Amino acid sequence: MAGMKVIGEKFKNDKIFVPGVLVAARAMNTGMEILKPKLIESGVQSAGKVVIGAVESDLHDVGKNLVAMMLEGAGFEVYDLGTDVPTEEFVKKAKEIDADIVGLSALLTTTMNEMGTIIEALEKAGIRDKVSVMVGGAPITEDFAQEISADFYAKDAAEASNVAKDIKKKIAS
Amino acid sequence: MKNMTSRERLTAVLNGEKPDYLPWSPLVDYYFLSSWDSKKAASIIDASQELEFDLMERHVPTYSEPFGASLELVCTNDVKYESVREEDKIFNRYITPKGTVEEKRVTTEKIKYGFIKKHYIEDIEDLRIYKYVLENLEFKSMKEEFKKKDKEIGEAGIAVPSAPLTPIQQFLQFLIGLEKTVYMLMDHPEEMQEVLDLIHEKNKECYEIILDYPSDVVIPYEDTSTTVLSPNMYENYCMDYIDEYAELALAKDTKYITHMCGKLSKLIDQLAAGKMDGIDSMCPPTSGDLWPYDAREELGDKKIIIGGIEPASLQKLSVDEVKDYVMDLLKKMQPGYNFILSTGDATPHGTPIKNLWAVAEIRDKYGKFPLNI
Ligand code: B12
Repeated sequence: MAGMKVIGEKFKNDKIFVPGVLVAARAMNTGMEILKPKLIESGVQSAGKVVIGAVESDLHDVGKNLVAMMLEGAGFEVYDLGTDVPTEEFVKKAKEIDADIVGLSALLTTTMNEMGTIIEALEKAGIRDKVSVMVGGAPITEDFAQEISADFYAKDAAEASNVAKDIKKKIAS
Repeated sequence: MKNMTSRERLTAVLNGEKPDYLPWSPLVDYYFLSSWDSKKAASIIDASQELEFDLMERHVPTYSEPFGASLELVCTNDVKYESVREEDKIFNRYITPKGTVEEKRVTTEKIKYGFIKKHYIEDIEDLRIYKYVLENLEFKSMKEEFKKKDKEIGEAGIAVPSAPLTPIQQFLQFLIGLEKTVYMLMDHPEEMQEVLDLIHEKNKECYEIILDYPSDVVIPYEDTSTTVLSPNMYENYCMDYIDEYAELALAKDTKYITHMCGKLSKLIDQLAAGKMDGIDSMCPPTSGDLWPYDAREELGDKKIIIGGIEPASLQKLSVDEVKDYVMDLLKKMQPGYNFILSTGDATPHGTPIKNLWAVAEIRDKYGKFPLNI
């Protein structure tokens, strides 16, 4: 997992590229399959629970998958809902697993507004205070994140994992 | 006063001659048209007239996946192809005596031909079946259809046929997807290479056909960029193929311009050394990361650059901001040789018409060639 942090930093600084991250993530997953039962046995807790997905009508998943991998690498339990995820699905899953973080991905200017709708739906469902909403994707900016009242924006997968860790620290303190 | 038609203007640039004005040729397709209420533009030709741009109509007469080429794919011998629609899903299958490979697509209101939810190739068995498909695949020219469309376009611009993608891009974009391509290259390097080589042979057959169309240019929709690929992968799996295809085009006196709409700054050395005649849909930040004027310094004067306007910006900016954006770009591109002003990939759904008019206005005011602003 510490390895994924190095990979994340290298990716951020254009020292390695998406294929390199994928290879590293596969190595991590192979290791995790062996380690997971032992970690559970010895009572090691996950860093937190994350629900992630690409918003409705958006089928881009490469970036979202990388974010999910980096979060897993940082010790989070990740529930990946896939692409083209309807608003209700995010709310339902976040409630069901008692999520700490909801991660929303959008790559299209036509789908990015769905993020605001999801945040409103989380509010309506009465769980907005319990979850931190983190948004990202090529057309998303810090300003846009603020506009739709998301809690956090991250521009790439490495930053997403750092932000998630900060969120968790804040909750803990 | 303009004294060239759109066709003449584009043809001049493609042939290294001077146009009267800088061509303005946004990539407009049905993604944008479907968001336009106006009844005035049922076709891309109508749109070019209404929005006053020099039309380069892409994918003429068609775009046959997974090759991404403007010709017809024909299965021979005991290989069959079928496409079945079930509600919003489309299942495309190649059925062979060795087994079946199937792709699943999902359609939406805006994207009628659908997007891949499951690729044809998911494991090594599927790869072997696809290899058999390739061995029994032939191509049929659509030259007459191309000529018909080109005639229809007339002086409004030019028709451009699509040339096939490099083998690795066919894997990434249509056949296997990014993650599995990366993993299968590691797990089954020899068999993957065999299929890459076979696709390359098939591509050469495609080029033979497409380079016979009466067009000054062909564009493969490479989409190569470090958005998804690494410079290493580009060097290992794209560069030599692209050079070989560029040579085939050169031999037929046709310009070979690669469509590369993502991040290119980390590939600039390889692109400068490449034999392609130019880059299409060069996209500045934030979707891309290369301004045409920076690229010009690295690529030299000879390569044609098509692009310069980031699609998301074109959609989001105000009319005045669009004008400033384009002015700034034109200033920095002076005198403007070998440059076609365009979008860094498709004009987005919902782009305000007035923003497109704003670009046309600036081009008309300041785009007289050679640019001297
Ligand atoms: C690959 C691709 C596709 C593939 C997607 C395959 C797949 N399985 O994902 C296919 C071919 C299916 C596709 C389809 C379309 N695409 Co597309 N696509 C791309 C492309 C080339 C690369 C995207 C990508 O994979 N990036 C790589 C990853 C690593 O980067 P990323 O996604 O930005 O993710 C990083 C960050 O943004 C961030 N991040 C991402 N998600 C999240 C989430 C959270 C919570 C956080 C914190 C961070 C975060 O971290 C990631 C890793 O560092 C881009 C071009 C570009 N320059 O981005 C166009 C692009 C996104 N597509 C575009 C378009 C227009 C389309 C189509 C509409 C095309 C059409 N005309 O039909 C369709 C729409 C389909 C749909 N309904 O979603 C446009 C969008 C422009 C716009 N105005 O909105 C782009 C920008 C191309 C362009 N220049 O015009 N596309």
